Amino acid sequence: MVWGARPLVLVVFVAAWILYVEIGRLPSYFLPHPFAVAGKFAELALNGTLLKHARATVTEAVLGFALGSAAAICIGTLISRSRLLELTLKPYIVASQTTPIVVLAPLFLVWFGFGLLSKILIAAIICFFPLLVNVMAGLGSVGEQERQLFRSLEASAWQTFVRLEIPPGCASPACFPLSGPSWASSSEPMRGWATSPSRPPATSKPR
Amino acid sequence: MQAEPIIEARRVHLRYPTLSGEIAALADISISIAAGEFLSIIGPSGCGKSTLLAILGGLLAPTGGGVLFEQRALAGPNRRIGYVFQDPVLLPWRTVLENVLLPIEIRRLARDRYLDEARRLVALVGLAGFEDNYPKELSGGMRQRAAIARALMLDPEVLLMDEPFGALDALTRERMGYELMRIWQGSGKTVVFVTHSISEAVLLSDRVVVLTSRPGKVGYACAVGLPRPRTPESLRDPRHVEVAAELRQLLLAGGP
Repeated sequence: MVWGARPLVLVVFVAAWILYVEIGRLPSYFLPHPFAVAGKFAELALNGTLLKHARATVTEAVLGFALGSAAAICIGTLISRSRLLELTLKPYIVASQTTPIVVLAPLFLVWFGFGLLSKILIAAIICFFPLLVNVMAGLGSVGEQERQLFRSLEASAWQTFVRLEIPPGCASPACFPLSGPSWASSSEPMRGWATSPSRPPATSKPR
Repeated sequence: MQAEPIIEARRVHLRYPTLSGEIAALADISISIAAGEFLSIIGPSGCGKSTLLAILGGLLAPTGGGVLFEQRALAGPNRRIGYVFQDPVLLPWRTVLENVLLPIEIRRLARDRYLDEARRLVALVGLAGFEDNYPKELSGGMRQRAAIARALMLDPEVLLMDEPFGALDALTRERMGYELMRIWQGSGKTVVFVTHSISEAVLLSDRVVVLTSRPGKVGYACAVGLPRPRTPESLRDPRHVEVAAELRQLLLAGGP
């Protein structure tokens, strides 16, 4: 069903585009005809121009993602080690997320030039904040009883980190944006750190 | 039960500071628990039952007095003391078998050598066939069974259980009680069982200790003379009825 409906959306969209351009007799600088776009695409793909630029874009994206996610994981882990640090920095992190990247892009060009670096840094910034928030949400979602369990097993801080704190972070939308790993229940959305006013309540009842 | 005490609380005190001054949570608690004994701790909400259990397990240091485990001072968590919490606290990204094997991994033991034992324990708690299921695919009672199997994985001498069936419906809860007795019987293990259910405590235990509230003190301790194995019939035994009525009266009166 959905595999029939999906291409249908594209067909309807392109048809509407064609109709709009043809009926309105729009000049190509206003809205080019889809066939003209497709022709240009084929031309650029065949003479290698597209590939060359795609390679540059992929390089920038991959390096930017690597840098941004590495920084987010390190800083997120560090911040979540300290309740005080987390509470101190939280409003600034949330506020910084509202800054549109478009505003930063020209500044980055001024600061770091037109080369690879400024683009990598912009890509890194784009990845950094959502990942930071998710890393902290994942690490913060560990309940008191889980921690007690690990303490009762005499788990080291490293074991607690690797076996208890990291896995829920990996289930967060930043790492599995669409499906999530098989064990993660899709009916229970990740308890978002940025959207909830405080940490999720401990699972244990007060006694 | 004339055996040596395996675990002993000696004049345990716990005080902690709050904004409105210091609070005494536990005061002068002395309990001696014999090896192989099934002991329940009951008391009103907030009397410090769970706190006492955490101290017996070495998860929490008392501010006064101490705990002896096998005649030696208990300084911290011990692998020979297993813990079952009110919630099963299974890791949702691990299957039942992987959850049961968690203590083995934490102790850095060879996982492969303990696979058979883990499977045996999963079967013992009645989860045979569910080894590769994830916790979200199990009912509440089944999850708690898995948690019991995990607690047994390191073959502990003492099992500390903190209201383990508190989140289950009444029928499942009673059934889990019989299951627990089946597992415990003949294992030689010592169980310390925290609950707020009088009839659960009487049905399961050799001895029941009542804590009074704020600060938690041992108000009363009584032996349950019911024969084992205990069955649903035991609930109607006059001795059960008598002990349960006595405890209920004590608790309703606001403690002894």
